[in-house]
Amino acid sequence: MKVLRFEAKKFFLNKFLVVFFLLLLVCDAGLSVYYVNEKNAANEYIDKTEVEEVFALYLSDREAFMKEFNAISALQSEFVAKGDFSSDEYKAISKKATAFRNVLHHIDYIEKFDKNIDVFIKTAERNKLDYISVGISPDSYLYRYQDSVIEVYSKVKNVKIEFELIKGWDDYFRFSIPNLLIIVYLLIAVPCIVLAEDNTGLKQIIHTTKYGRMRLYNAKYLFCIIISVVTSILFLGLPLLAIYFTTGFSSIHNSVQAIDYFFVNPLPISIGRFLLVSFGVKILAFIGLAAVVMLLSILFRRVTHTFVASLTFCGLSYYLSTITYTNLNSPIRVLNLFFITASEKFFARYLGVNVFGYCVPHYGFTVAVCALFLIAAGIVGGLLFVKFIRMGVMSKKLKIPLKIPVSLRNGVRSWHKRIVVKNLYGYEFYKLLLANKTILIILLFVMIKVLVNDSAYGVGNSFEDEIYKDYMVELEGEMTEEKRQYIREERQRLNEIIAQKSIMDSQFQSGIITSEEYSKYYSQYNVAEIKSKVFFRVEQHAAYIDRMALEGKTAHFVYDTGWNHMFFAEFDFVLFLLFLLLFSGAFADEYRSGFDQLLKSTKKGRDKTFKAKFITCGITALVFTLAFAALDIVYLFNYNYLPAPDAPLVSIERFEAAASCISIQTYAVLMFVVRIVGFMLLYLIITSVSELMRKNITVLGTVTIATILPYMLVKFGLQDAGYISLPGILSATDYFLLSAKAGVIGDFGLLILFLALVTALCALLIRRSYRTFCNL
Amino acid sequence: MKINNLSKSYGSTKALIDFSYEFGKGIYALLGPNGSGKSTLMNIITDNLKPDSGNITWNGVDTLKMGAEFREKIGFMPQNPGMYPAFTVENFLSYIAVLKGVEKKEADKQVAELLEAVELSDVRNRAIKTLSGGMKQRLALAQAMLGNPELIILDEPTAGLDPKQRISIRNYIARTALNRTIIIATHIVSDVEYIAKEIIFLKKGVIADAGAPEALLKKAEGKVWKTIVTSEQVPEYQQKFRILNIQNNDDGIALRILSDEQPTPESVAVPPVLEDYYLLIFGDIL
Repeated sequence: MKVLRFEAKKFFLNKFLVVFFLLLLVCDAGLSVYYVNEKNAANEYIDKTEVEEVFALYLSDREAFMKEFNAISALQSEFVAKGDFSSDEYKAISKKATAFRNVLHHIDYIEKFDKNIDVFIKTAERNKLDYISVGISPDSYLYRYQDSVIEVYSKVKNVKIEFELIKGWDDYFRFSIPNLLIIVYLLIAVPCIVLAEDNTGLKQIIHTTKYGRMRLYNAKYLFCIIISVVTSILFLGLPLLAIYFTTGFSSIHNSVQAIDYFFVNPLPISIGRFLLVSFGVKILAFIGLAAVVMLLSILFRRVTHTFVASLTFCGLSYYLSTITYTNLNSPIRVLNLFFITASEKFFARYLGVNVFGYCVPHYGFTVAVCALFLIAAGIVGGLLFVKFIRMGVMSKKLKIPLKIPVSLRNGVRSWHKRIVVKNLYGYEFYKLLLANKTILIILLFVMIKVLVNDSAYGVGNSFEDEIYKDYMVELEGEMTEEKRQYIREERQRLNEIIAQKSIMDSQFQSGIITSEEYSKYYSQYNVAEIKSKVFFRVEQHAAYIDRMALEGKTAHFVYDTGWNHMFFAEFDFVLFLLFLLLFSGAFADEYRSGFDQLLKSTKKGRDKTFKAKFITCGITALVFTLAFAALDIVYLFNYNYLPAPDAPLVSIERFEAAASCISIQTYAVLMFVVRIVGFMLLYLIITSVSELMRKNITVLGTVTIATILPYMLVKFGLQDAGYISLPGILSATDYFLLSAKAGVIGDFGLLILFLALVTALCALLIRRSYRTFCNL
Repeated sequence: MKINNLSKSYGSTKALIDFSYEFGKGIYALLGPNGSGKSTLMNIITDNLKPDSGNITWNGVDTLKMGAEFREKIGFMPQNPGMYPAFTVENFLSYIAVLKGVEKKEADKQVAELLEAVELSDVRNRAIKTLSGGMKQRLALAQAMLGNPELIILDEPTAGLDPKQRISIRNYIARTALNRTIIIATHIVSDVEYIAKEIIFLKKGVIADAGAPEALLKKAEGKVWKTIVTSEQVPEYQQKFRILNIQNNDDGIALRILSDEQPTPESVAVPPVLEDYYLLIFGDIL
């Protein structure tokens, strides 16, 4: 306990961790209030206060409710008949009508709840019979899964949903932003806790004491768990307070299924109990994350490397959480950090994980795996912690007994030491890329980039996309009357084939047509069905072209799959991490090693070294940015068909908001330029902050908050955060769309303004860091 | 170099109070216990710290105004200097040479000579992280000498060295003191008593005394005594007098006592050494 107490003391004496925690807590509070107000603000479509009033009317006097609803509906129809959609009166009546419909929908939902759940049960019972008929054993996972569904939803069917409008809870369970803040905090705090002794050089002393090994590790592990729990409770609890003090909550005793997106929540419990369950599951997931970061800290023993590795882990998790799974019950999906902590997704429905043929409820599976992982991480982490195993240093037992000549081995090991470039810039490059064998990590990042590109761009297009491509290539260019005719005829042709199915079915059954004829038709039908679905997209695009024409914009038919890959890819996260790794220590490492005193006492150790650092980092940043962009271009051009580059940009529907008539290829060039500029600004920010903060962990924390946090807030639903999101510039299109929508001095106005602001900020940061480095 | 009325405080703690001194060619020792202001003074001279008041001039010109021109004349060895663990010894010295603006050919020559002088030639291609503490200390000294600086500032240069190495370093410093100013900050009196031209005693940020070693020793004459006692008498003497040294002899315990008057009738006055004077100055705070 004493050792644990000292871990707490060390933590609270670390001003950065405490201030950072409070800062994030304030962010959480602010964002919670902002989110609640946004969700509940009256807009032109709905007013929640009005919905509550209408519901109250339903409860007090149903007759009056129906009378008023009929009157409002009739009035609305009159306006529709007149074609009046823009008057204030119509908007007010529509809002009221929507309120009534919302209430009626909710009442309908409550009244038909058990019938709708019955559908699930009956479907599962039917599936069981089908499985038996095709020979699937009752002992198989598939059969057991249906049994589980029946069992779970039979209990859910019997829950009693109180007759009330849900208030507060539907907003709360969907609010995932605190998860993000918890993750950011743990990524910073856990390495600081684990590596506290490494950072101060006390390791040797501490590890020779009686309790300085296993007991110390246990204390650290326990403390990381405590920090995870406390952080989670506070960050998840604040939004509860925010909602309580703004809109308030409906009854905590109502069944969780009363919330419409928890319609098929598998737990037959009250909202209050569900709140505790979801808290518990989230806290367990965050403790798991802390354990992962702890293991990484012990492995890497350096804060920068740990942070980058942890960020990579989270990035991968997030990426995996966004892909579409064919098997919803996949353990990879069920154990994903972002999936587990998103209550509205994790508990949306029953999932059964296949564990050696048995069907295990996903929540039980997740809890069990997390618990086992925590135990395993505790044991493995402890062993590693005590044995001082570091990355790159193998114990004698692990050495591969190859007979390599000593001179060759020494030569390979020390090749970088032979590089002696005797000028200031040479040494800065050496320190940046070679001295700590960073080049090996860079090569690893390049490999990761290739793998990421391979999975993002290297996947072959689907059959539907090939059909879509054929149609769009056929129609490529401006809309013409011939093309309109083609579209009409093609639709007719497809509809005719599809419409014939029931006739052909009965003709085949009654022997009018042979099986060969029926097979031939059925092939045509299958193709027609797929084509019809795809062709709907083509028709939608034709409608889009007409809509653009009304707005005075010219859109063409363009096969846009490849262009969408190019323009709407996420920002280069791999390059971002590489920049963090390379440049966060540009100045901070001088202070960490204690060399700063000596350095600054030399003739060239101030302004010349300052300039040299910025220039070497700048050249490195530019080389990697261009190299990674080149990799993207190579993959894009190799794996994607990119037709009609001269077509107007608005030919790609997602660029609908663009007002300018630039071509696709012009935009492509501009996009890459903006990305390059964005990454150069990022390097300037990281390098300046490295001098201003002087500690690697504070640099990483600051840059992450300033860049990644706004980006993730957008992903979690806070769209306005996009205006201050640097990753928006790093992807270019994200910010361009915001800029085009805002329409401030054309499509690029806001983008240029943001770039100018960031550039001005960089200039200020560089000036300030120059003054502090040169002791001015 | 002239230091004029330098003062520096850290919050309510006054590290340096109105420090003034003039340094010419030769070795100057700055003696004082931990916390007396030695490192603060070193860091102010090298412009790693800004003083609260006062200035430093070099040949009459303010060193802050000289900027890089002044730093070109300095060789600095801080206390516990940081180095790049992955750099080799030779690489590190070459880098320092670059930072000091030494021409390449001259740098190569000086690096080779210095490695020889500090006995690190055999490990020139070893990474710094593989060196022992003493080797790192000698490397730190070597880098301070690079570029033939006119002013060399050494903060605890012999910390962590064995007696043989300490003598070797001391002799090396003495040899290189010709035509340059060397300031050595230390609390190990024996390092400087034979080589220093002048010794400055720094006590709580203020000059307690300063001057040539011989002149300072004269002030301690008649205040150092030797007396032989039994082991049972030692605690009593420790309570009554300031004991400088306790030595076991065949005929009893020989006590070396610091006292303005003869402590006991049996006591005999002995010639003082600089350490005695150090304790005379700092005895109240040690």
